[in-house]
Amino acid sequence: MPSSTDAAGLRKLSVIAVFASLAVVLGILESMIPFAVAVPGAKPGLGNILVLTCLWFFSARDALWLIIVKTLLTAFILGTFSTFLFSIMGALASFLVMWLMLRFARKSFSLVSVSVAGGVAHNLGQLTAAAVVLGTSRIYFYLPVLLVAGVVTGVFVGMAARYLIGTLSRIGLFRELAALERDGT
Amino acid sequence: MLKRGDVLLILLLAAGLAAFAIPRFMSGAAAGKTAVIEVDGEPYMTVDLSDEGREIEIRTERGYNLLRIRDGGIEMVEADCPDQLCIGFGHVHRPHQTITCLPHRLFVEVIGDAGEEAELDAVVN
Repeated sequence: MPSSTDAAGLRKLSVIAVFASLAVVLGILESMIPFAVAVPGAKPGLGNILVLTCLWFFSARDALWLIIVKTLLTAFILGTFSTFLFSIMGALASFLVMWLMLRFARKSFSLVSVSVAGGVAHNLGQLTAAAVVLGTSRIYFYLPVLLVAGVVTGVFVGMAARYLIGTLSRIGLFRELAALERDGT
Repeated sequence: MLKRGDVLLILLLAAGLAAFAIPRFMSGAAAGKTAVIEVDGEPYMTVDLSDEGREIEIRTERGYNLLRIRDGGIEMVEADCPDQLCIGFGHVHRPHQTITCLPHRLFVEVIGDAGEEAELDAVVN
């Protein structure tokens, strides 16, 4: 966590904590809806709305903490530690791709694109972890199905994030924090 | 509204999807003959998909799964894993279709004709 004790740092920490709790609640919520019946292994990934928003306003380190807290808490609450490895590999792959796109090519990609790439990277990361654990690359025959699922959920998440970022940008606190972030780096 | 990067991403995804999906459609008409079951990355059992009604019970230290052979295919009927995703794969019968139960490190793949039989023999041996 950012350890600064100054007022702005504390405010940022609180905002990220709220983001993390929202992401966890969305994770619990989507676990109650049986999307997986249609495409096993695919999830809407609503928590990614918060990760994307966090990446937009704050630094990569902040978003990374958000992801770790979100994934750990969700596994604790839902009792899904047997698949924790796969969730965290997916989440990290998704984070890496979205961060790179926003850091180096923010102007050439729309937010929906960033989210779609993140969704696809999430499924790729998850499947790669599964291929390593199961010791078989033949599991990639399942990739096309997950690719399509990643695109569909990515479009939805990206549109939601666009609304959220648009609304939050009008709040003074977020403008102030984002400005500090830009000066700091 | 589409930016240059967006178009690039769409093309990339379409190419990726085609690369994976086209070979699958080519072999899609064939029917599966056997299914290979692997646990923890190790071959566990190879079953004949014409063995109508056969049930395969798999108990490991991680948990319990029950597979059933029906209508030239195989399906997961019961599992005590927390997410129950493996049951969601349904009835699989075409070559390369898979059932995976990640919490129990279980992997099932339908195998089709000659091309894969060499690989299958290697697994059996």
